[in-house]
Amino acid sequence: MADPTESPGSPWLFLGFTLAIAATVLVVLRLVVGVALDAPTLGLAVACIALIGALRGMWGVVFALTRPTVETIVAESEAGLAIGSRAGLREEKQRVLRAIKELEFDHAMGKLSAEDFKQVGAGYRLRAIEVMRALEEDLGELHPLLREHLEGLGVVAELVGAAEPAPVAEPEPSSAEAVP
Amino acid sequence: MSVATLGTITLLVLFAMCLTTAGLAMVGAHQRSTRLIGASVQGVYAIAALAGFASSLIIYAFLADDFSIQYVHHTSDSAMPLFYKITAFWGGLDGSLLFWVLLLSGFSAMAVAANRRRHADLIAHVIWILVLIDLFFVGLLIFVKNPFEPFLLEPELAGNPRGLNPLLQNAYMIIHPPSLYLGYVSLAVPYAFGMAAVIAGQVDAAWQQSVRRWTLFSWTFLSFGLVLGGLWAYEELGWGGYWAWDPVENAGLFPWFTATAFLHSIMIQERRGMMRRWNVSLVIISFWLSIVGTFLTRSGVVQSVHAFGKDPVLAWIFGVFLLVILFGSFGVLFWRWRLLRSRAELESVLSREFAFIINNWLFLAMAMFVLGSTMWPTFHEWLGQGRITIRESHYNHYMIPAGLAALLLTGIGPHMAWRRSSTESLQQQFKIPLSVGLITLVGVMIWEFLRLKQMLGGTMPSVEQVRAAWMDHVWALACFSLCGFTIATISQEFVRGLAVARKPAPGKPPRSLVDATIRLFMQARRRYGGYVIHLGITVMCFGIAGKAYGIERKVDIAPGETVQLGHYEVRHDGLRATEDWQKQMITGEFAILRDGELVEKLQPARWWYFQLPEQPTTEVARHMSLGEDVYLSMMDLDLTTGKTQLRMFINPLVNWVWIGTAIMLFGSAICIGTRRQTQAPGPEQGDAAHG
Repeated sequence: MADPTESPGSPWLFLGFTLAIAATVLVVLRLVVGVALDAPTLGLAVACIALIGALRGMWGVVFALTRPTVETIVAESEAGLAIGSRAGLREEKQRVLRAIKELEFDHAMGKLSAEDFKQVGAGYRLRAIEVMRALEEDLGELHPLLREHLEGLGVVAELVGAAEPAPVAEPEPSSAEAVP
Repeated sequence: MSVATLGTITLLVLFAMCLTTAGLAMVGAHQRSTRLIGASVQGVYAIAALAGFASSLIIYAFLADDFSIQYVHHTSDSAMPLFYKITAFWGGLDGSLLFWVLLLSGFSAMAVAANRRRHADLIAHVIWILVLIDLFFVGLLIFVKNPFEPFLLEPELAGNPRGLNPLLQNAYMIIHPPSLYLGYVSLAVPYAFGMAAVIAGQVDAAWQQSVRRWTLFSWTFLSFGLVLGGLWAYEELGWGGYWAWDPVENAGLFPWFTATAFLHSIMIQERRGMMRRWNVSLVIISFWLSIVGTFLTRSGVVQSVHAFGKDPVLAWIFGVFLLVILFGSFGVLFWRWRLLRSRAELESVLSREFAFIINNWLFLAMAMFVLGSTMWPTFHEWLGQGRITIRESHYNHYMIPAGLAALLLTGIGPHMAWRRSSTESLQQQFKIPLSVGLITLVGVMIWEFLRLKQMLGGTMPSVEQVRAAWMDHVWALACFSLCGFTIATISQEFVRGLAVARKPAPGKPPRSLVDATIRLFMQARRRYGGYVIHLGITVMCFGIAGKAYGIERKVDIAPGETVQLGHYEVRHDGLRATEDWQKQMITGEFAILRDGELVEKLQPARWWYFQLPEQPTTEVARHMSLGEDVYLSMMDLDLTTGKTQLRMFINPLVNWVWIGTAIMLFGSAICIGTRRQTQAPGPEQGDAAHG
C-alpha cells in the first residue's frame, strides 16, 4: 500500500541529483563565462540547493494533500488500534525477557546469591509465560477479515513474530550465554 | 532583490510554513488523517530546507561582505579569515537565533524521518510540538531580531565594520557554541516525544527508545560544549582556571544534570515499568532548562563575559515562553496522571533502582542549586535590594560534596542488582573496590605528609601541621580515594564480565580475551559503554581534585630577572613586538627551569586588535605534562622598561580533565551506537540493544 507520508521520490536521490546539477552548472559557468569559483559563489550555490530543497518540501506538502484518500485508512486504523492494545503486552514481554537475561548475567558475575537468583528468576519466568500466552490469545482474537487484510499488508507476520514464544532461559543458566 | 530583502521574505515564508505544518499536524492528529499527517511530515522537511536557505543566505552575505546588513556589519569585516566569516554566523545574538532555528528544524526533520513509521501514532503530535517551538524562534527572528535587517541609511554612516569579537576568534570558541547549541536544541526532540506519548496516551515502550538515544546525544554534546568552554576560558581568558561558575556556563550545566538523571532513571522504567511520571517530568524539566539557558545567554538578566548583552524585550518574551512551556507541559502531565502510574514498586533499598533514585534526587538538587544560585543576584535586584555577586566559593562549598556523593554513587551503583541484592553478595562485591579506595586514601595521605616534609626543607612536620594539611585538602583526599574506589569497581565489572563472556559454550573451547571483549561490548554496549563514561568522569574528577594543590603567583618581572614558582624557576628573556594585518602583538620570552635545567621556553602574549584596541586579549603559554601545567599569562607590561606583570600558575593534574573528557565521549559514542535489531527481540537481541 502506498504510504501517504511518503514524499514524491527518494529524498537522497533528489539531494544527489541537485548536487550533481549544481556542480555541473558551476563547472559550465566557470568554463563558459569564466565565473570565479570563490567562497561567495560557492555560498550562493549552497543557498540555491537549499532553496530547491525548500521548494521540493513545499511541493511535497501539496502532493500529500492532493493524493486520493487511501482506501485502507480505516483498516489501517483498526490495525493500529490492535497493535496499540498489544503494545503494553509486547513491552512487558521485552522487559521480562531482558530482566531474565540480566539476572542471569548478574548471577554469573556473583552479584546475586543462588537463593535470590532462584526466587527472583522464578517470578520473572512465570510472568514471561503469562505475557506470552496473553499475546497468543490476543492474536487469536483478530477478526478473520481483518486478519486477512493485515496479512495483505504484511503486518500479521510481524504480529505473529512478536507473539511467538521466544526461548525463555533455562532454569539453570548457562553462564556462557549469560552476557546481556 | 537584495540579500536582506530575500532573507526577510524567506523568514516570512518560514513562519507561514511553520503555522501551516503545525495546523496540519494538529488537525491530522485529531482526525487521525494519514493525508494531513503526511502533508505535515513534508512540511517539516520544507521547514528544514527553508531554514537551510535562510542560513545559507546570511553566510553568503558574510562571504560577500554585504555590509548593508546590520548584523554582518556588526560581526564581520572584510579582512577576517574565511573560517571566522562563516562562524560569525552564530557569533552574534541575531545569527545565533537563526542558528537555533536551523538546528531545531534539522533535528526535527531527522527525528520525523527516522520515526514516522516506527511511532506512527505519535508522529503527528511530535510534529506540531517541534514546529511550534520552531515557530517561536522564527517569530523572534521576524519581529525582534531579524539578522537580515538592513541599514535604513547608507551603511558607511555606521562607521567601519566591527568584526568578530577578538575573544571569539579562537578555535575552541568556534566549536564550543555550536556544541552547546546542539545539546540544547536536540533536547527538544525527547521533549516532543515525551509530550506526544503523554498526549496520545502511549506511555509504554514506544517513546523510550527514541527518547533515550536523543537524550544521550544531547548529553554528549552538552558535555563536549561545557568542557570546550572550560578549555577556551583556560587558554583565552588567562586567569589560570577553566571553571568559575560563570552564569552562562552554568546555564549549560542545568540541563546536563537533569539529562544525566533521566539517562539513569529511564533504565528503571525500561526494566521495571516504574517512574513514568518522574521520567516525563525530567524530560520536561531538561527541555525547559535548555530554554532557560538560551534565555539567560540572550536576555542579559545575568552578568557574564559570555552573554550577548541586555535585551529587556527578549527577556520578557522568553519569560512568557518559559511559563507557557512549564504550565502547558505539566498541565498535560497532570491530565494523564493516572495513566502514568507505576507498574511495580521498589522492593529493597539494596537494589539498583534505589541507587538510581538517590542519583536522580542528587542530580536534580544540584541542578536546582546551580539554577537558584545563578538567578539569585537577578532576583535580588528585582526585589530592589541591589545586585549582589555570588562567588565561586559559594558554589564550591555545596557542589564539591554533592559531586563527591555522585562519584560515590558511580562506584556503588554497578554492584547493585535489579530488584534486590543480598548482603552476602554485596560484601563480596564491595571487598576489592573498598580496599582499593582505602589503600588510595592512605597512599595520598602519606604522599601529602611527604610533600609537607619536603616543603619544610626535610624537617619532620608536627602532628598539628600534618593534620592541618590533611584538613586543608580533605575534599581532594576524599576525591582521590573515591576515584580509586570507582575505578576498582569499573575494573571489577570488566574483569568479571569478561570472565563470564570467556566461558565456553558446551563442547567449545574458551573464547580468547579479544573475542570476549568484543562480545561483551557488542552484546552489552549500553552497560559497558556506560562504564566507559563513568571511567571518563572519574578521570575528570581526578584532574579536578588536583586543583587543590595548585600554586599561583602574580609578579612584576623585568627582563633578565628570575622568579621561583613551586619547584620551577621562571626567567624573563625579553619581549618581542610584531604586527600582522589584524593586530599588534607583544610576545614575552620566558624560560622555564627546573634545578637549573631548561625545561621549555614559553611565549605568552598580549594582542591588540585594530578593531577593538581597548580590549587587548591574553594569549597564555603552557608547559604541559601529565603531572601538571606550568601556565603563564601576561597581564600588563611597560614597553619602555620591558617590565611585565605576570600571572603564573602550577595546575597539577589539569590535563587529566581533558583526557577524562575524551574517554567520556568515547563511552558516549559506544552507547549512542546501540541499535535495536528487531521489533520483538529474543533475550539475546533485547539485551544487545539494552545492555
